[in-house]
Amino acid sequence: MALKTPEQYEESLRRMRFRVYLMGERVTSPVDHPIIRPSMNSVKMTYALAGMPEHEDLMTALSHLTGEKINRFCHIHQDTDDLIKKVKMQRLLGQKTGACFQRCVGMDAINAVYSVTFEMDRKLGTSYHERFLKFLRTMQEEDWTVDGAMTDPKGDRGLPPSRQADPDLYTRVVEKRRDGIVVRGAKAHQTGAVNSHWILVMPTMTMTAQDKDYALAFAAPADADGILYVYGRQSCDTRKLEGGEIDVGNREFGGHEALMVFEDLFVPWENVFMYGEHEFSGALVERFAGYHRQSYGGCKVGVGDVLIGAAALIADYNGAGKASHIRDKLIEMIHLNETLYSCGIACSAEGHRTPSGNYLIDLLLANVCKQNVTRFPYEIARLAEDIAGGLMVTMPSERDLRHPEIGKVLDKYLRGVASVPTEHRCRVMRLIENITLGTAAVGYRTESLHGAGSPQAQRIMIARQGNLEQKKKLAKEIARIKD
Amino acid sequence: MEAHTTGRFRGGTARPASARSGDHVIGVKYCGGCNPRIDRRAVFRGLGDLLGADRLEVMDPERPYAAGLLLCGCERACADRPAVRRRAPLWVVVGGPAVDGEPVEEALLAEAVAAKIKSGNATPLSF
Repeated sequence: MALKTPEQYEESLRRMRFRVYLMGERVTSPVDHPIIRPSMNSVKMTYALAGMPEHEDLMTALSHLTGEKINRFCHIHQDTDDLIKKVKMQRLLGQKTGACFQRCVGMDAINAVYSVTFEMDRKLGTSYHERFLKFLRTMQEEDWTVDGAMTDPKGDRGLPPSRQADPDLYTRVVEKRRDGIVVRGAKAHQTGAVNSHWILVMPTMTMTAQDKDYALAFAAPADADGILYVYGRQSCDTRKLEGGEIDVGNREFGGHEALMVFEDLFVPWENVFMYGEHEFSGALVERFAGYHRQSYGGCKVGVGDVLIGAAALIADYNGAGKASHIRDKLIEMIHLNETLYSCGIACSAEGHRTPSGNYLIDLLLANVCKQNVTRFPYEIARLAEDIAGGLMVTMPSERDLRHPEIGKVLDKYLRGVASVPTEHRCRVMRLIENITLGTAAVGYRTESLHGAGSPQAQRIMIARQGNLEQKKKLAKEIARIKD
Repeated sequence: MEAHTTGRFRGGTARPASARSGDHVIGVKYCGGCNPRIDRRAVFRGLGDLLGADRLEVMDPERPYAAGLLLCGCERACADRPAVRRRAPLWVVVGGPAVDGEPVEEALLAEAVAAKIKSGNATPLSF
């Protein structure tokens, strides 16, 4: 089964035995929990679109391992066209869900681990790549959603892993056995963790020799004994418990993050892909981060498309659609959004082949892409709020709108253009609220800032890749300076 | 529909080998639809109404077609690749609101494609 149907995906999750806590309670069936389900629907869309002729060109690829048609989220990029299609696929999914669809982290992780394990084996004589290929083949055959897990809690940021007051604040090996290793620690902010079949764990940063116990990469079933999840809260999340559909803004789709805790998780050797080879930890982190910074040039753009559309709609419903300043703000939003897309496409088109044969994005351009993503969605959101007007945050609830007496009053006084039903106006207001400061703002705003690395992380990479000395030479030549 | 080596749907007798099976069916290949400027499915439906639904099918990579229709959401027409083109000897390419590069209003796209197919003005394989 190289391609799962959306229904098969949901059923496969239903059979899993996650240990998940949400708001102080154990969740017995995450798929059916009203707060979690919209995020599952977003991942499910990655399966649905892959089965649609009008989207398969982006959503699927041919496996370089088997020649079979597979979901692009399970694919190893074979050329720059694959890198470009990845970004286009992500934009499409952002448009279809208006939310984070979570499956990118796994795709970015497999591509990073693929090339780094190859290079490790070539230099060290290890067999990590062969092990990883076995995992990858099954992932492709089973059409797994894989959670790429990188970010450790990190405790005191001024101290390295081995000097933390609590050594578990970085994920580490606590026991080596003949048949595998025992892992303790945690991964924070794990996007889509509870909607995943497997997890692919990577080190959180470049490790030195003194921290080699923390230079660790492995895969594990997402519901393995020894993994605990504590589901992250989102702004306005309990609106999903109210049973309505207007106040949630986006009833069908959402994203999620969770704290993932390894409570002495046993990992057999066949699923270990880095064990103490600290000198390769930096490359793994850099490549995963690079791929993920490219990803944001697609997914955030797709959500931006929805937000721009919503802003244009509310301008029409308010009767302000033809005002020149409103039109100019919409143009600015499009300009910003397409600039992000341009960066995503550019770093893909300028990608290159790694020794393993897969393709890596241009790291400088990917970091420029993400640096812009730390800023532009905020401005797009600000402009959307500007166009929407204050009612977006002062509007009464859906229950008031539905109330037999109060509802009539609201229908009268919340109407904009006479020909547009008041409810339509309210629905669009709530959608804008959802993306700019509700549940989807986790993905569209703060994740844009900190996801795939906080702004300073990109600036370090830009400094490293920026080729400043060459620019000095250019200036000297033009200025006719001879040293 | 017939096809022959001069690149016309009608008017010839010699048909390429790839047209021996399903020579009345047009194979449709969609782009992925990342940011379409037209409703590609609406064009497909409109064309089915004009030519008959049994004349169109989503392209099966395993079977040959006498003609292919690329339905792409924008002018980039990213699905227009040699590997795709090899599946049929004759092609019509919709790339956003344009047919074979000529601008056409979106509402008239299906009509323009149908006219092109009926008149035999498809583009021969050039890869």
